[in-house]
Amino acid sequence: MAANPHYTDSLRKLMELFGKLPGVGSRSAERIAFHLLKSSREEALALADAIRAVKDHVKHCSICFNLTEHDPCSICADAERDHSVICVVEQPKDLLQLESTNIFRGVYHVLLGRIAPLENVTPADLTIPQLLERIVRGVRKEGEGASTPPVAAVREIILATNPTMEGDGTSLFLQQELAYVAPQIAVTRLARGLPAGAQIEYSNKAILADALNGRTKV
Amino acid sequence: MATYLNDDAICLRVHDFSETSQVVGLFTRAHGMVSLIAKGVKRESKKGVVSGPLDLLTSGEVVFVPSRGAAELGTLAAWELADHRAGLRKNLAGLNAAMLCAEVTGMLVQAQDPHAELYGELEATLGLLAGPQRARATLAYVKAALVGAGYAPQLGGCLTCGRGLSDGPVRFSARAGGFVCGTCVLEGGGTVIQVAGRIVAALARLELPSVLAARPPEKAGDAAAQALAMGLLLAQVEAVTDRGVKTRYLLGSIFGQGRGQGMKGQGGEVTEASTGKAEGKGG
Repeated sequence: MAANPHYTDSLRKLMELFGKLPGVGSRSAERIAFHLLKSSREEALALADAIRAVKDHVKHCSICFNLTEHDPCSICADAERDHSVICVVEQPKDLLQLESTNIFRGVYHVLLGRIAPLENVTPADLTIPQLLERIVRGVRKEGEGASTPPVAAVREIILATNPTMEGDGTSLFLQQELAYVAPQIAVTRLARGLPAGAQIEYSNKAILADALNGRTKV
Repeated sequence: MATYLNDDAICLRVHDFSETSQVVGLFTRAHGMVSLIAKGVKRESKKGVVSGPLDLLTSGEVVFVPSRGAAELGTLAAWELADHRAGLRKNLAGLNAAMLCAEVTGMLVQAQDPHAELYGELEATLGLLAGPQRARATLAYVKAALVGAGYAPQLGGCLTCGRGLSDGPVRFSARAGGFVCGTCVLEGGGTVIQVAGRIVAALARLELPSVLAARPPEKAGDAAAQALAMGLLLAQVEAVTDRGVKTRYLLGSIFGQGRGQGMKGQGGEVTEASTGKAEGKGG
């Protein structure tokens, strides 16, 4: 939808920027822009300040590459967590989802993507070298404060990449590299198969095949 | 009223379009390459329409509304998963080979240009890649894709004099589309790759993936020679499409030459084959 020619330049610019946000079309962009025009100056500028603060303060944790405002992030700095178990995920959003289960008490490593040869994304484009370095040398860098957790020898790596072809490929690549640089470490992959409450009759072949292949002894 | 088409398909491309929708590139048996928008495919409520993951390299039966023009996207109406490639998901070299085959197919097959035979060969190849025939099947498929697209290199003899090639060194020019023997002159052939004649002869004898699949597995061939032969075929693919093969760096992994897909990720053990310095060890 073309912008109304009677809009001012600044309003048109604002709508254009909102329209670039995921899930926001031109109509919604127009609605948000007019909402901001109607709201108080403080309310509108608070939004601008929040955007500025996020861009200024949020960065990647130097250990796990999760998003954080303090380096290391709260998970890496938590001495109560088990630093010998590292769960490898593709994106910070995956980490948040796993954290919401309240089951995992280890630490994470965020790859910031997955290997996608057809999209020119190679292992070097991800944080795989940093993960291997973290495992081989230990987490802590020289010069960090005493508040950082002690270096723990890694016992287990949980590969929690998505069960897509590219996620599986990333996981296979990590298995290969880990077997080469740290063969003593246990490498596990998230289970896959039937979710609780599903019915076999309506499950698709891929999920059933995974469930059969990954069956566990009871 | 919209026309619905039904076809077998292999998924060669998946891109996120929005929070819940994806754009997929499918190689279909009867309609060639089709690009479709799969609306809301990531949403839980759409799981009835899409039975099983619409993931890279998976195959299934697709129902779609074709696009009106070449520049537009068709619409995916339903997807019934047939094979989610369980073997490839456990075999890195096989998965890398499948990625290379997918890329080469996407480069050589045009939109809505049917290649039913090549579709069958890709299905056969994907079935072989997790097994001992991986290297041979990958080579056979890339050769079949070049033949199917009408860009097969001349492997039978010298481009200039027509004589059969000897086991000794010969020169391959992707731009000229074939080989020239040691005594003939190659003019205007662009980058020339020097390779042993026996590799070319082995490449010429290589059968289709469907034939390989129908026979008991043979002993694995010389990995270095196979990688060199693949270098020639990829040079041909690049010459006819005027684009680089992104998955070339995976050749080391596919042909079992070291860990291959290294941290720097861009090398591949056969790059010299594309720079004109290599002379193969034999086929």
